Formats: sequence, structure tokens, C-alpha cells
Amino acid sequence: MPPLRRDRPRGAATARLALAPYHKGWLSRRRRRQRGRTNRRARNDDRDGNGAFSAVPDNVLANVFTRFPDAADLVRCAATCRRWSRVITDAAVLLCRSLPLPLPVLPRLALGFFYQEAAAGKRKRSAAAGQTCRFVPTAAGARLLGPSLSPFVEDGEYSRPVTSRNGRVVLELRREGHADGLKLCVWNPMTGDVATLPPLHGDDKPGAYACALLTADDLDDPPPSSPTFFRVVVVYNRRTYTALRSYSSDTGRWSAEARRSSGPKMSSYTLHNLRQSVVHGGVAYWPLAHTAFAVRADTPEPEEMPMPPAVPKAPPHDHLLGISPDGKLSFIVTSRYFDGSAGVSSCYHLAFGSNGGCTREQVSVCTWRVRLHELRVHRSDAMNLRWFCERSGLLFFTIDAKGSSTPGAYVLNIATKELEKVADDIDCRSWTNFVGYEMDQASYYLSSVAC
Amino acid sequence: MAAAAAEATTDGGGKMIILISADGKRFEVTEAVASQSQLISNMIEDDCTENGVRLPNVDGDILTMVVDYCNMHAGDAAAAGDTMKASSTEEELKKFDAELVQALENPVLFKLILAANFLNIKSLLDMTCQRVADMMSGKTPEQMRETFSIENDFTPEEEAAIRQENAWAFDD
Repeated sequence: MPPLRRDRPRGAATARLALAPYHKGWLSRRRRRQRGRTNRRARNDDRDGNGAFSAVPDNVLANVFTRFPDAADLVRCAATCRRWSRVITDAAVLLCRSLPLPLPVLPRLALGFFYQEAAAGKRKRSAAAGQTCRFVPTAAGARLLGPSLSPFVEDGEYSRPVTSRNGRVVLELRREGHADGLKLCVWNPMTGDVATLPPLHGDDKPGAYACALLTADDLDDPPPSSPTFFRVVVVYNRRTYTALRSYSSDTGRWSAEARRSSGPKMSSYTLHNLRQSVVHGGVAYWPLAHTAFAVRADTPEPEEMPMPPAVPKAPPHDHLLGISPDGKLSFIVTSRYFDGSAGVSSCYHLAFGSNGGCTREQVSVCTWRVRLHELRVHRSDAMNLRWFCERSGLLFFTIDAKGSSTPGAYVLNIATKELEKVADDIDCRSWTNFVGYEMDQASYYLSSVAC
Repeated sequence: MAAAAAEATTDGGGKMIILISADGKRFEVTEAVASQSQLISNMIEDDCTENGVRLPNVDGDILTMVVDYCNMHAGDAAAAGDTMKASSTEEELKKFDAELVQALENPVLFKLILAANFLNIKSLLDMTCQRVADMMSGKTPEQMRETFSIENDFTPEEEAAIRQENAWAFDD
């Protein structure tokens, strides 16, 4: 029998890892796998021959790599030799910040989605406590990271996916039997980094709320202090008004509460059902009937942005917002064709003004339309748009078995019109808190070029 | 040495500094010119430039270029008391930089990068790194290996995997 380990720190670390198997991040798991594969091979990467760069130190090489006009240059350099690949992966975060915008749309950024099963009607409270957050990878996600990936959990807590953007996910942490306070954390599944926000307790605790996440890429003026910067905006109801508040990673504090300025109090039902937010020019937008709800988030305190009056032709409900390639706020909607096949399309009715506000377009313009011949939908509410991954150009949606002969969870590549079934024949209607996930660019370089 | 140092204290008012290359060539420059190098600027602060500054990693011909560059870019033109300084406008500087960098062949360009890095002259390092980045940009991995004589140390499977995973960066 092997001797028992008495090494306490290591034991404690193992115990924690057992509870949260991906504490170190999904990416480290992949890199370990890769390393295992190339283990036996000579890993001395510093012999790029007698080449021109042999005497050039890594930091100078990285300096050269920060000067490319195109992300593709970076990838081709990483494919040139081991040393370059290593220098690029070591400096990935910095290099990604140096790339000129807009970054290329890369379908491989999207890895899958988080969701929860809705609470069963009768035993709502206990069922709610027991439900777990799951992650379902796309085929590409599973190929990259393996089939089973777990969301972040802390001892005795369970997490609810709230929103995600640019590689990070906002989770609400709840402890069974403890209903006081709203505790959010921002988690990067790829790196395993978790930032837990100070809980909002007592009077500050919101009931129903909506949440948006801004990352360093979303704030250019002034540029954020750190590439891991983030800001979380929450919208919630007080007794007589709708309130806004934001948390910034650089101050480590929640801002003072601001009131919704240009509209009446939102109903808690509307608030609870606000869908995915999109961020453009430091402003977060949520879809509302015939319009959007906009909150400026690049200021120390969030502030509602006035929107043009409701656009009559804009969809009344069940739509997602997206940013069209030419920088317009577009509405993504489902459609049903006479032969029972389904479709999705995007059109814009609103254009961004110079100060972050929106102006109304005279004519609505269709930006893309995809008809899905292989999907059969005989009830218009069977198809449910769930999440649009803007950096990978992928749209997640589910089709419910009630009202369709082709139920399941799907992901559509808008550019190539390729459709992939991600999950089969499930009662998708009961899925709540559906949050699509795309990794950040730095993780992309780390995952795809590292050797 | 002492004589050289004494002799080096000048006509134009600014103190002179002697830079000595790896192959023993000596360059006399003003403090203002030399302090564009952070390395030398620190040495000046520490008062250890009396006997000339030996630069064992920099060859004479490279140091000639560096000194030319520093002379052109010395912000405090008057201090140098040189004739060409006063007239060097921004446009001329740009032209000078462009000609300097464009004319460089591979081995010399890299020696200049190393010198700029060693001497810590940020603007020269930026300029030369930009030149290398421009040379790399748009090239395929094969072309890069050829241009910079780099050995391909990936296995064929690894290379194929990278290309497949990142097909978008390779279609041209």
C-alpha cells in the first residue's frame, strides 16, 4: 500500500480540484493533452536554425509581431517554426490587443453554450436549487477541448449562467438555502480565471435583473488599464423606478445607482425576459418590442441612452439583436415558409449615431436571410432564437418537439449557411438561461497554434 | 584615456562622450545625442562615461549607423552645433529614416535591431522592428522560412493540423 500523503497544501489543492475539475481552465487541459502528445519529441524550440533571428531575444521578436496589419499574419508566423509559435502564444494577450480592428470573424471562436433546465412547476424552490448549469459543446468545441466540460462551481454553490462576451461568462452563484444577496462572478473558462464581485445585499439586492458584460475590447477611449478589464452592468427594479448600476474591475466597486432616465419603470416581467445584450461603442443594447433598450456603460456610472421612437416594422418580440458588418444595429428574427421550412433573417432599422445614440433608418434593410430547408416547423413558436455569437458569426437556436418534426438545438453559420445539430431531440423548451460561449482571440491563438 | 576625455569637452557647450565599438572604433558625440540611448543616459546619470563607453556587442559599421541616426534625431539641435541639424525638418527626418531602413539587407538589419535593443533606443528599435514586420506581412510560412533562413521544426502532422485549424489565414 502506498504511504498516505501528508502534504497538506497539496492535499487541499487536490480536494479543490476534485470539486472544480477545471479550476485551471479548459485551455490548460487542452495544452496538457497536447504536451502529452509531443512529450517525447525534442522540445528545444530555440534553434530556428542559424537564421536571422537566432540572436534576437524573444521580447524583440514579440515586438515585431505586434506590428502586423492583419491577424492572419500572426497565424502564419505561428506556423513557421516552434519558437515563433511559442513567442506568439506567450504574448497572445498583448498581441491580440495590438491587432487593428475590426478583428476577423472566426467561426472557431464559438465553442458551445451553457443552459439550465427550467425548474419543475410544483417544487419550484427545491428544484431550482438542485438544477445544474450545463455546457454543450459544438462539434468544433468538442474537437478542441474534449466532450465533457464543466461550468465553474464553488463548494456548496451552484451557478446560473447570466451572460457572456468575448471569452468571459457572468455566472450568478447561489448557495442552497441562502437567498440573501446577489453574488455574481466573471469567469474565463479557457484560463480558469474567476473574479467574484462583491455581493449586492439587503436593500441593494435586485429582484429580477438583466445583465451586460463589457470587456477591454469594448472600451477604446480611454483605453482600459488592463487587458483583463471588464465591466458588468445590471438593470433592476426599485419600487418606483428602474435602476442601473455597474461594477468595474479597475475600481473593484459597484457604482452608485442611477435611474432609468428616458422611460417609465419597466415591468419586472419585461426585465426578467430581456434577452442577450449586444455592445457597441461602449453602449449595451437589449432587444425590446419594436426597439432596443440602451445603456451607456463606458462612463463611471451607467446612463440610459435615448432611443428613437418605436420602429413600426421592427419585430415586436422574440428577436435577438446583432451588429451588422457595416455597423448597424440589426434585428434577427425567425420566419416560417409556406412549405413548413424554417428560416432566419436579419434586418436593420436603426443606425448608430456619432455619440453612441441611435437614429432611425428610413427604410429597413435586410442584411442576410437563410432558409433552412431541412427544418420543419409547423408552429411559429416552436423555433426559439437563443444566442448570437457576433465574433464567430454563429447563431444558436432551439426547436421544440411541440410544433416541429425536427426538434433539437442547432447552430447556424450565417456566412456559409452551414447548419449543425448540437443536441438531439430534447425538450428544449424547458431550457432557461441559455448563454452562447465564444472564446477570446488570445485563447484562440493559444488553442489553435500552440505546440 | 584621460586626455581623450578632457579633449572631449567641447566647443558647443554640451559635454562630449566617446563611444567605442567592439572593433575599437571611436565615436565622439554630444551627451544630448548619446542620451537617446537609455543605456547611455543611465550611465551618464551614474557618472561612468569618463573613460569612454565600450560597447562590446556593437560593430563599428553598425555603430556608425546608430550614431548617424542619433545625430539626425537629436531633439536639441542647437546643442550639437552641427551644421546639418538646424535644417533637419520633420520631413527630412522621415526621408532619412525611410532610406536608412529600406537600404538594409537582412544581416545588417538584424544587427541594427540588436544594437537598438542593447543600447535601448526605442525609436530606432520600433522603426527596425516595423521594417521586419513589413517584410513578414503577407508571406506564407514557407516564404518566411526562406527569407529569414529558418528551419521548419514542426512535424508534417503538426503543420497540417495548424493549417487545418486556421484555414482562413492560409487561403490566398
